[in-house]
Amino acid sequence: MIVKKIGETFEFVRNGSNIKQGIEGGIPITRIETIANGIIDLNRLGYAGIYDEEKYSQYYLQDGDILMSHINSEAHLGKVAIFENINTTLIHGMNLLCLRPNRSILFPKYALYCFKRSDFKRQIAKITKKAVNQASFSTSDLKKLTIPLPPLQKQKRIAAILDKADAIRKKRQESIRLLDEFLQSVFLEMFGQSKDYERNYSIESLDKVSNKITDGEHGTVKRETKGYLYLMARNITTDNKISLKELSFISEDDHKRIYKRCNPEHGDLLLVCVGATIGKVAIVPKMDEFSLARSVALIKPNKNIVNPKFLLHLFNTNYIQKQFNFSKNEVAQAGLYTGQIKKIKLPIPNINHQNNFAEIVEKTEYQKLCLEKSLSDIENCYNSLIQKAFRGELL
Amino acid sequence: MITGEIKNKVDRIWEVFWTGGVTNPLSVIEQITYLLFIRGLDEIEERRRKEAALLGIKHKPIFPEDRQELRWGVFKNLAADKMYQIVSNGVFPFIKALHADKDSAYSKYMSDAIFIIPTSQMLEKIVTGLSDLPLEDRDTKGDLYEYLLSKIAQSGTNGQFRTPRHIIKMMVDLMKPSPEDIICDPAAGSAGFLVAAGEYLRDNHPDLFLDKSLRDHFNNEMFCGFDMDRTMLRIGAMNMMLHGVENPNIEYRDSLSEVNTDASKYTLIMTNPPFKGSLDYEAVSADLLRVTKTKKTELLFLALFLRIMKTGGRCASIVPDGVLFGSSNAHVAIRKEIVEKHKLEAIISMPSGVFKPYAGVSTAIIIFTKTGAGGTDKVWFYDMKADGYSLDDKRNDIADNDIPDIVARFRDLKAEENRKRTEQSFFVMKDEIVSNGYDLSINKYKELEHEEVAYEKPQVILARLKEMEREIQQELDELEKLII
Repeated sequence: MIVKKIGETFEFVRNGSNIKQGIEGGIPITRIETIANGIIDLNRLGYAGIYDEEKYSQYYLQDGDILMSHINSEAHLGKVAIFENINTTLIHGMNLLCLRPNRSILFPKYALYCFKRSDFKRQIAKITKKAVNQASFSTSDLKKLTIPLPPLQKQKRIAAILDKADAIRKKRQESIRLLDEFLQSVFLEMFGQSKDYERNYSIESLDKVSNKITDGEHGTVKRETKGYLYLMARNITTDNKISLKELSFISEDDHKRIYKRCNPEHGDLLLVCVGATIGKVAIVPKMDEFSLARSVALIKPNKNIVNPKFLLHLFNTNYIQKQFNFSKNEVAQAGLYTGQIKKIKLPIPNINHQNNFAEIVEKTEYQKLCLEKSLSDIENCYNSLIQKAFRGELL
Repeated sequence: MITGEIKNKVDRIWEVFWTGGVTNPLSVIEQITYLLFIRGLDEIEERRRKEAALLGIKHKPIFPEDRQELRWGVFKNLAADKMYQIVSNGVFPFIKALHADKDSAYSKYMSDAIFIIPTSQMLEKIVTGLSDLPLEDRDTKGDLYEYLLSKIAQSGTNGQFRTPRHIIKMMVDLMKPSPEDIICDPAAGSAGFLVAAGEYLRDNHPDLFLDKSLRDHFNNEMFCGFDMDRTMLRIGAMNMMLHGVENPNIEYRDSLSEVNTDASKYTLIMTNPPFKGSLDYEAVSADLLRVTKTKKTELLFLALFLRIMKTGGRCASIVPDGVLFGSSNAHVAIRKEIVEKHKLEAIISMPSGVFKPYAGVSTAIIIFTKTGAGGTDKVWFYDMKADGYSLDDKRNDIADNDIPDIVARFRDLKAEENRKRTEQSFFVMKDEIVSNGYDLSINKYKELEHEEVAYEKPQVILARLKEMEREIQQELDELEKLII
């Protein structure tokens, strides 16, 4: 396949206009963060009170222009977004490069995908100059980099295929998000608004409906390379899962000693009780025995009164999260003592009602698992398409 | 406020120090303080000479006839080398020896002055720069010095000495000092509270200067500040004098120690005592330990306030949050003491960013009156969320500011009676505080407001999910066709 330099395939590659921002109103100006999400985000623009339509007209973005980050932290360098179907006048501001494709040989959307593939990222890495806090590359170096350049007709087809795959990927992500929203909606439908809890349900403190509430090991425990899992706040994710990244391990002796007092088992609730992420919760899945550090509290709900899955969702509501915010002490590091956790107030609906909810949760979670699997398949497919497309193997 | 040209002049002087290698902001302030003092002495001399001539009495000079070269007005015009020689070998020994001179109020803080400006060129630039500053007007010179002090804050490490000025001003506005008050700050630092109190009186009680006894009280007895750091004492004293208090009682004193025998002396205390300060426990006064047996300076200071105030005396102090909810015996003891034996009036909880960028501690202002006979019936709580600056390390100006609201509400507490616990300020009855183990943290009493959450109905979301599945199916088919 023919390969050409960027300098030969674009009308120009240039930095934006240097305008001091800060005054409200007028024609919007692009900023570094405008393309942070890979699209031109019209909510993240700068303003300088410019109303004169002539003054910066040579910097107005045109359909098909590609913006590229060339001064940024290293990970974000080379990030791109395309100006397409946007009916807003937009001034190209400092600290992003604008690349205007030469349309007689280059299809803009094709160019965009070209910049998004990992091959191009590797090229960028070679021309990157690192400073203390940020990295950059020069326009002249960028112009010397190359992109594969099939005939225009072929470019359009490649862009169409990748567009389609990208659209599917986005829809799949959206449907996964919708499942979460679905559960929230069901919860609300079944148990009502939190402001009505006190009117509709009997309110109990957490220790009244639990068989055990305690927190993890307070002392320092020697870490081992293998052995028993030692779970900490960072292993509990915001979406109520246990993350098995950055794991710590402790010896069997230590584990046995800690486990005697604090024994997480399948179906128990884990609650982050120290640090910036206080209030995150997860349910212990079926897994091998493990121990907890001080930063995680263990709650063993009495399953005759509260269903753990109901409890998990309840913990995510404002009703409970506010109580956490409320009772935590901030000295050096925010902390929630077991005494305070025990006093957390909960609405207790009929257990059958809770169990019904838990059943829906299980079904939805299974759905989500399937969709996530499907998403990862779609992503693989998308990546493979990109790879094949630019190797000339597609079509 | 200092702006424009004067600000640039001060900045330039600061820069001369910086480029000359004197970079510790406290040293810079200290050297400037000495030089301002030296310039001030000359101005006093000149004024007295004129007054004496006018009244036809004999003038008793500060500078002897044969030492006239020590006067600012004289040496400022000399060549750099000559000036340097006179200032280092003549003027500094001279001001140290002024100690005995009762007439010059601030001489006592100059007794251990050390001259550290390293070169004659640098001294010349600084003297020229300082001569340029307009110090005739009281307002300007006070502001000017405050501006210098703000530079300590900007430069970081030493900034813990400096309570943010807008917080000080708020506390003064809450306490409304009167011309008869005897005001004390037992941990005075740069004397910010005393200066702000003085300014408040000038603005709100201008008449006091017409009354000789009140005026004398203002100049000699009203303001008392103590500190354990001699540099800060000097700075504090200079700050007071530049703000027009002729003879402030700024003294070296370890307020918590046995040596401090003050009792029932003051009518108003406004202060920001050291938290977790280092403490010479052996030397701590036994009567403070009787009230609260602890090594925590923030608790001992509270006990101290109760001792040194007259009955009826009022106190506003910044305290770290821990004081309000700590459960140790010492914590509970001091809270119980204030609630049961005196009159606790208000707790204003401040956001934790107020002291940034130096410290992220959460603090509150506690306001109480010493009665010795109880009197707490209900306590006013305010949850301050914004102080006009962003709460990160940058502390940029922002529009949100609760301070005017706090002052206005505190001055009209009657109107607060019916505020609900979900609002930003409310009353809590004493009984409730007692039943909560004298816990004074606002979180204990604040009530939660539950926001409505809105989602579409589950059926609607399910329908969308199904529709989306169909679309994905269709698009997968299309994709397949494209590739073939």
